[in-house]
Amino acid sequence: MASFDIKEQYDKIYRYCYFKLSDRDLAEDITQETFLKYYEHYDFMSETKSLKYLYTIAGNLCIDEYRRTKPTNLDEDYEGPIHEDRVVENVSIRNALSKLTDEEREILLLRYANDVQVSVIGKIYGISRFAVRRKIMAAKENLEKELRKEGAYEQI
Amino acid sequence: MNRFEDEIKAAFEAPKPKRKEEFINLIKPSKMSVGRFLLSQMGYIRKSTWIVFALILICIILAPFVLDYATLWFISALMPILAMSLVTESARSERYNMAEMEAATRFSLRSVIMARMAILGGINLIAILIAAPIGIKYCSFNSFSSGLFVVTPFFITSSIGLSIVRKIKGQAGFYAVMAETFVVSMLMLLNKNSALGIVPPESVRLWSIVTVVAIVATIKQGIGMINNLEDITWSW
Repeated sequence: MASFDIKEQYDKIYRYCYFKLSDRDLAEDITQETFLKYYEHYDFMSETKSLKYLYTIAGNLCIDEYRRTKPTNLDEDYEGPIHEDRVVENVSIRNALSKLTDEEREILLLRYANDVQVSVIGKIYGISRFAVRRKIMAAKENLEKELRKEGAYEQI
Repeated sequence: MNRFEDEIKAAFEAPKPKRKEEFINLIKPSKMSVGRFLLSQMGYIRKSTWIVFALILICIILAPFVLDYATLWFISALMPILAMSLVTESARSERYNMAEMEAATRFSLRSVIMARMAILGGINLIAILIAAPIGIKYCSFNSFSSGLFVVTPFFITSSIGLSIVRKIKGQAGFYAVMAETFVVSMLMLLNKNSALGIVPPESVRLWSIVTVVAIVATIKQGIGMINNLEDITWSW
């Protein structure tokens, strides 16, 4: 009994895997395996707990995959952002994001790209909401610093 | 979301998945039925709870052969013990400081406690349904009054007991519930003699009011207990 919208979560888990593995097909394979594993074992769960398990399964599967085949940079067939006027800004932000730590990048993806609630992120990492907020703030500050170094922050 | 956060979101834009619809149409989530879930949770109820239940049931069935007309009050005195097993088993996680650990299992703690309460409530109902006709048969009161004498101590104990375990955590709460059970049990035994009883058996209206208040309080405490379970997740 899933307590979430599978269509919505499919995209989010896929995005999470894609930015971990940098491979479109592999990310989709892992996304599907995540849901299959989830449905194999978990029932009667609150939404918070379901999301925690989904991200934990996806994260573990990505780590396994990463160990097997070390992925390179993001896909060549990736068309990039849809709006042309944002291309430059996005390239700058992506460059700056690549300089952050894996955890910082992941926490920003979860919070801003996947709209995961702070309490759920706390459960995924096993930390309090207060600690999550602090990590998000720190990640944003570091991202801002990187953007300033590139002189791209003012454009945003 | 401000512009900076919007840009972060846009930077994480991924290419569209190719096989999403196909997968969603194919996948059929295995759905565990409520019955199967309850059955799975039955195994986690402690053996001592089942033993207490079985002993009470044996005592209820054998009571008329030994006690004759005191049977009703004996059954009334057993009801608080039945309620105590429900309360202490429901609050088991708190008693052993296991709530946080149980919250990390595959089912939510809320569903587990609700299942536990439903199972124990169900078996207690069976015990009451067996006890009531026996009590009614071996007493001089009418069926309604006798039924009240069986049901009331159960709900008084469970309502006060649940409120105790919500306020007093750990082993101390368990001992407080035991003491409360003993007091209610004794009061029911004393009621055998109208002169000693706090609430005279003849006062059906008063017993009815007490029963209704106790049932409402039990439901309220039970809901409160389940609602409070999510709060334990907050920690520094």
